[in-house]
Amino acid sequence: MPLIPKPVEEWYKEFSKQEKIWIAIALAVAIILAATTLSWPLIDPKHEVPSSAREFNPTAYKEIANNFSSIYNGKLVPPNTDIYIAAQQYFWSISTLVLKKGVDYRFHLGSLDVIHGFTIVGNGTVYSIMVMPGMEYVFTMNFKNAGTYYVICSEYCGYGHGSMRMVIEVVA
Amino acid sequence: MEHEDFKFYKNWRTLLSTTRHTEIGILYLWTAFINLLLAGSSAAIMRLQLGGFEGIVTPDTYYTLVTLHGLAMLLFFVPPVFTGLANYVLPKMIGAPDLYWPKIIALAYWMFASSSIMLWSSLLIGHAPLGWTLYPPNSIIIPDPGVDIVIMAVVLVGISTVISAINFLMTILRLRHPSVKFTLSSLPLFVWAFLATILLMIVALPPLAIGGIMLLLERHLHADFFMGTGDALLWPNVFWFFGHPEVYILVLPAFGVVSEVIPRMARRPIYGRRAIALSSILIAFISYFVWIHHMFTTPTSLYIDIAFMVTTVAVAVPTGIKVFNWVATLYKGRIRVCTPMVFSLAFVGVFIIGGITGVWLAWIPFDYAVHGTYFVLAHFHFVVWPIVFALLSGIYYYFPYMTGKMFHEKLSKVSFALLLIGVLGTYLPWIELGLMGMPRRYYEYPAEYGSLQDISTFFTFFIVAGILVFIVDILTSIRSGKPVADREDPWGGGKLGMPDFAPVQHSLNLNGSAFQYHYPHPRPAIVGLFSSVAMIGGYLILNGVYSLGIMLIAIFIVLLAEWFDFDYLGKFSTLARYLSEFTLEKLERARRSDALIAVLWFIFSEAMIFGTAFTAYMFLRASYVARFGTWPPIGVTPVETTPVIINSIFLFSSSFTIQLAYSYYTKKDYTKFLVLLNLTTILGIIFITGQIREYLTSGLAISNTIYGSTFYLITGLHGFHVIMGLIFMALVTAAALKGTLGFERKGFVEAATIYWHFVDIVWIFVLAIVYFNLAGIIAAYCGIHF
Repeated sequence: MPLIPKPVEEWYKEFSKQEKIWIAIALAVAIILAATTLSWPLIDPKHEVPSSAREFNPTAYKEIANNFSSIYNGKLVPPNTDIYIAAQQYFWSISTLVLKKGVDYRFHLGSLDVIHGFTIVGNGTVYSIMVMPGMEYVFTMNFKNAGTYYVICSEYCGYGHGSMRMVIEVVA
Repeated sequence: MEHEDFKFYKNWRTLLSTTRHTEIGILYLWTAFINLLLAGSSAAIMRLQLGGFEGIVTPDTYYTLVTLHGLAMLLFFVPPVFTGLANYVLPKMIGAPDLYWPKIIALAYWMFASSSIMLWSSLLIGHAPLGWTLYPPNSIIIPDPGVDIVIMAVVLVGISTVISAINFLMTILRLRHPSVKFTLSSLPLFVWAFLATILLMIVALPPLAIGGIMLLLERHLHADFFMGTGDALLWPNVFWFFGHPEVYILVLPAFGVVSEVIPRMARRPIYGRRAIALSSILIAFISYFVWIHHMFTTPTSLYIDIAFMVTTVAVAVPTGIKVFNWVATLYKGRIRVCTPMVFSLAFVGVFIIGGITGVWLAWIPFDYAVHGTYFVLAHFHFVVWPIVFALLSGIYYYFPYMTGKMFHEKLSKVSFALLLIGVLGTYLPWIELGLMGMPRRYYEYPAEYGSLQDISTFFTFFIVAGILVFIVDILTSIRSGKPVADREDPWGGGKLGMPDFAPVQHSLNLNGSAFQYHYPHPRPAIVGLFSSVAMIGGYLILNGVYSLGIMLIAIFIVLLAEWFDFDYLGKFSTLARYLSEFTLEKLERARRSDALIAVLWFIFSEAMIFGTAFTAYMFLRASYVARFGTWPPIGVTPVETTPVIINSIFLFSSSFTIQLAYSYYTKKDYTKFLVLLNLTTILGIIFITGQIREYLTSGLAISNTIYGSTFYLITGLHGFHVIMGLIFMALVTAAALKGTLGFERKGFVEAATIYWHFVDIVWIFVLAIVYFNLAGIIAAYCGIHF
């Protein structure tokens, strides 16, 4: 007994009218979506990927980050100051960062040992970056709302993964 | 059918020596379910720790359970369980008497069993607190031997999966009943789906194996792939090139099962049969080009991200085609609401949640928000749980075939209800948790996430109860279920014009004699079980325990050689040839000319290994040049090229001698054939000696930056393949000297020839890329600093 319910000629059946309409609609939607997606970087060129692959010296970077932390921990960082943060098992180099609302800050971020995740949570915002070791990340951030944000580690880094936290206070 | 009820598992001899596809299939199912129970228990412990029972495990154990739960579910439960189901049903669906190589599938099973033992024994030996993605640097800086055991178990199960995949492929290509054509409308949908799965397995698992080897080399020989001058971003690329196709390896057979069950239970021919069949292949194809979407938040170029976002979203198209066709099949159908059907319907329903959340995750801005949070966990648990539903649907559907008994309809529906409630209750809170920003892999977490975690834990008890009810149902049904009235067609599909299985082509019973095509053979089980011993031998050698390590590997090689001797050189082969003149003649003739095709698929899989190694070289080099601005790396003298040119001449000339040998073989001039074959072997040995000399004199260490690491990785891999080719030729020589290499073994000689040519062709790439810096020359010509 053949396994085929119908003869093989089924292959050569013409598309019906409804099928053709559906194919046309699906194609049109696909083309529109593809066109908008691919033109996105042209429409919104300001979108910035937080990356910079450059020679990275963990010990030197640690010193810079600790310097920054000793000056600005818990104090307002004035505009036009670069922010240096180092991630390490299992803490961030600075525990409380105070920033001004609506100001562009340049962040420098680097991991001194394993992969960490830099995730900002709070006031309805979630934003994350994966911090690969051996690289310095440079990106600009602008907090639109005042309030308390938390930075947590979102990429598994070891036993103390859950306890890696820092606070960003955004003041008006 | 009476053989189906033979209790092969009651006696350890028959258990170890079975090569029958149905029995191996059932073994696969049981072993995979044991893995499910262990992996599920790990998950339950994690769940208790997170909701309401804090502190029942230490962080160390918790993160080890994270690793084992993920790896066991994705590599040791779902693919084997579907392989088991395919073992049972696929040959029957296409009317094949058995799988293409019954002994090889037994080998694949026992390798899988032995790697499962290895995986769980890592809990006794040490801890592997990594997460299932095994991301370096953590997987390198943690010195625990548990990590090594886990990595080796993963490599081993990968090899086992590739072997069984090629076996299935050959079965589908070669052993079909004449009424089952290789067309979209003739081949059963499960077979189409499984074919797509096989193509993914052959391409995706070799990169994982080579990645695992790179991890082990870096852990023990201080190679520089992922740390130091290497780049930690290489591992996510290698891993997800395997990892994303892997999730389609899980889901495609589930699609196949559901496509088989729904039309028969809706009593209506499947709607859009050809579209469903084709979309399986389309999913397999697209899934090779989506892996970057796991790394949107790492420093990759935005343009690459967008390309991968588009391909990822495109996966929804073939998947959507399937879902719409299933729904269209149900329309106006006379639906039988029995257990396989409710599971299949639950598959479609819950899978839509998983699929849609997947499309959201594919959008880069959204991924920046929820990357690495519980949202991702919710997404893939809503994808893998439907897979389990489809699997249970398949097991219930084919249960009457396997046992001749019916399951308890009511009990199985209780299990279904518990599972469905449990799954929705456990994982829907995770979507909310993810949007609130709770990261995954947290042993402890801030209090604001507590209530949702508690809800999730509460519903986990439903899942546990559902699984327990399922086990009770299956065990009692096997013992005392109601016998099925019509064993040949328990669900009445034949009456609807949709029989489950095709007629079998060959009757292989020899006039009632006990000797059958599925002759019992204990060697696959012995070699398979010892494969993990060989892995441990390799591990000991990496750790400097040479004598014991070499001894363990030697035991494995002796066992392999004994198997070969028994099958191809000893008395047994005479018996097999005697038999082949009678009933097996037709089958054997088909098989002989196929060795070439099988070896070509094997070579394809090997080419993926080399492709991964070359790509890793390019990636690391680009990364190094971007960071430090020079190539070769600071403090490295490139390897001299003069000796290697002389060495290459030996290797390339051996390609001509083996081709000449082969042409004498086809002219049946066996003396000249043997002379030329041995000349080829000698040239190969000269080449290997030259390589060893180079290793000893070049003064380059594997730990000497990425240059040394990639140099030894690529040339070492190639050297390993040369040795494999030499062993292959030694076997041909042995068979020829024994007089068992008649012209009927043409495929064997052909395969050895092709394999040797492959080894030579790879060497051209090794020479160009590693020794003669071809990439650098081309880049300089284009004006790129590389």
